[in-house]
Amino acid sequence: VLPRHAVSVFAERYPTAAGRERLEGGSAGRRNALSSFGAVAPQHDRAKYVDVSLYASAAVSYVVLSIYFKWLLAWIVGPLWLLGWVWGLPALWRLARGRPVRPPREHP
Amino acid sequence: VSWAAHQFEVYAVQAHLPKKMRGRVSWFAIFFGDFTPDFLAKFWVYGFTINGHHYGASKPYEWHRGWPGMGVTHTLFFGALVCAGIWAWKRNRAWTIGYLLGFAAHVLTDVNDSIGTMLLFPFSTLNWSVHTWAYAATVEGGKYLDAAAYYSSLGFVMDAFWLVVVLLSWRVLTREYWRTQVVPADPHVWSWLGRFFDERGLLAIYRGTFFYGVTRLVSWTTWAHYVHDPVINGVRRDGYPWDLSWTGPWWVDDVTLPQVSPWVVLPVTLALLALVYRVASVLWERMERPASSAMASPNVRR
Repeated sequence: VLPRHAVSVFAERYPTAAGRERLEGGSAGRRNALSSFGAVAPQHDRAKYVDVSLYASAAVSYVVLSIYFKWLLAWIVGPLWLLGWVWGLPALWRLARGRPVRPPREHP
Repeated sequence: VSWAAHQFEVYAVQAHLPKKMRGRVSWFAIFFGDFTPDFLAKFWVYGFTINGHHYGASKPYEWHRGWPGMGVTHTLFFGALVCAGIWAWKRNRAWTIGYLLGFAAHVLTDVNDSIGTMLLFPFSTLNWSVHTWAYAATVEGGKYLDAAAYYSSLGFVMDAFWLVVVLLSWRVLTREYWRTQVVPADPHVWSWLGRFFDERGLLAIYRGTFFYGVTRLVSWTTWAHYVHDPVINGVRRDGYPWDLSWTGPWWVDDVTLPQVSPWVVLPVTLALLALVYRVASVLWERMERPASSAMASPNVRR
């Protein structure tokens, strides 16, 4: 059983809860988030395809470049490379299209 | 020296937590526990060169694992001290126990190279090693020779082993696992990160260490065997030669520190691993705060 307080912190502050939970908002939204915690929102096929492509291209690009540029193999660079590629590139794409990059803030 | 094995261990420990700790032990604590020994000791092992002058340890193996030196950072005693500090500061069992497990994983797997670790420090400063592969960090060879030796020896097998352990527990890398087991153990940290990153970014942060482990394994192995043409004993070769024999590879000098007999190292290491899990299990129970005091305080002890 998850500690109640920890779950409520997550439900209120975690901005990536399922869309339905966010849209409902208010106390009803919080109740839904609490009751459905652990039930993961389904990921669309297209999103899965995009994710797999991003991870694969991040790995290939990192391996190929780091073979010749060893400084890329520093422990801080590897994880940041993945973050930059998987999150940064889509964020740039959204920015270019005039969409917000940061997640919407939830105020119960 | 273990390389990608230390990255994979983080997920292996996370995936094999005792049942009562699942979804409650901080993944970040496991990560920091596993990385602390090398965070503290490794920078001076290879050192750096400015204007032709090398700054770093004159005996890297002694600095890294010996006494006197930073070898103390690779002891269970040091890990226990840090855990005591975390508990005294935060009263947070999710972080205390997570850190302990991650730290122990690092210290115990490092007994495999020819230097090993001071497992019984401060009672003994002898190093414990099973000599599975040669410790190859040297002033002359630096990081490149160290990597080449590791990925030409049973060190490569060690990394592959830990990779397989994680892949057999592949669910630990999934979005579902992250949301249901990792985030609830660290709601504040993930919530804070969630102010800047969407779920795709948060997952990339979680998977980043695994990604780094896989890619550095592939990258260093490829470089050592297919890209670089080293000169060994005056002979130019197409890539570093493989040597999967015990204490290989043959083409690096096998350095050691005063040690206990290798025959007792494996059973003692396994016994210490069991002891660490037992201690973690007992502490986990004892660190649980009574329900009445938990309700009185908004700061939940996890």
